[in-house]
Amino acid sequence: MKKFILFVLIFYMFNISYAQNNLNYTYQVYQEFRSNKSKKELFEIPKFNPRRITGLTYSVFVPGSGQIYLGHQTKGAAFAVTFFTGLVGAIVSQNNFIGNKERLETLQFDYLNADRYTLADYYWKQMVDVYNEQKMHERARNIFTAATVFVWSLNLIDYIFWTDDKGPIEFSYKTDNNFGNIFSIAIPLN
Amino acid sequence: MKKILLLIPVLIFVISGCSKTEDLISPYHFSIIPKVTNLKVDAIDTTQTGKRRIVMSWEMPDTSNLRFFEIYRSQKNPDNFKIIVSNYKDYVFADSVLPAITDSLRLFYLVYPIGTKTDVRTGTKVSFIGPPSDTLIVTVKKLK
Repeated sequence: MKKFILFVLIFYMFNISYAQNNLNYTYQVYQEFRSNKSKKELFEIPKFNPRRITGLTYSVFVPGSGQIYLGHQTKGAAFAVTFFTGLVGAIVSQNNFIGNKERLETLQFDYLNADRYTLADYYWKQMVDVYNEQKMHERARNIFTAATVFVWSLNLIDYIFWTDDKGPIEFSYKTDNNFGNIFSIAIPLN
Repeated sequence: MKKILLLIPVLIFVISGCSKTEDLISPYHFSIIPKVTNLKVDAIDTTQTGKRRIVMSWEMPDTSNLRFFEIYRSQKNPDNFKIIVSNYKDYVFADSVLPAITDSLRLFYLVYPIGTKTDVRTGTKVSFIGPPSDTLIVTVKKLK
């Protein structure tokens, strides 16, 4: 289990560092943004307009989606993946925790009703094993929850302070003789 | 902005709502009745009618919850133990009803102390079979 938690943490770090070090415009914009501003200016909240507020709402409920909305796809995807990995880990650990709790209740009932030492000892050993397993799932759940909350908070901080708006996705308007007016959307694939 | 502020107490509620592992109840089965100690063979002799007989004895460190003993015997270990005497209150036992001996016979004995415990559902005293003794191994040779 420890190896699994370590793997997930490394996975988090890898995802975030990948987003930060990806050689696309996001990184360049971020570097320029960083180099041109003082520390005080770095934490200045950009002026909020309706687009930024919409993106913020997205980011609150689905981390990374606000960044994607503002045009930072890689960073947004990294936040979303790390957040949902942590969330799934926390849910699975909590599920196992509840399973162990129910198993422990059943074993406790059997243990208290055992009519012989050998049977009681058998149930007791199982209870100790399940208890240790439950403690392990509790730790895993707490770590995953903390990591998820951390990523969620980081996502909001990143959105509020360090994510600039790249502008809305362009729409094109074209008149076609056969189909009439056609609206299309240009999706950037960089 | 209000949505964000609302989400913070919700998150705190969710996190604090995750219950902790409850401590295990204290084990009772170790203290109900102790294990039989010092189970040993006192003699392997012959009865007045000419049958082979094994005399064994044992000790109990605490007899406060002791009702009686049950003695089990087997020709194989650890399987196939069968009860040979129940409701036995003495600390010395002579087994003279042995299986047929061709040349020599190897027998295994276990002694269980029987005590009482309080039933969790009804609150009444019920029988509780205590921990088995160490296995006593006896080899009996046929008399020539």
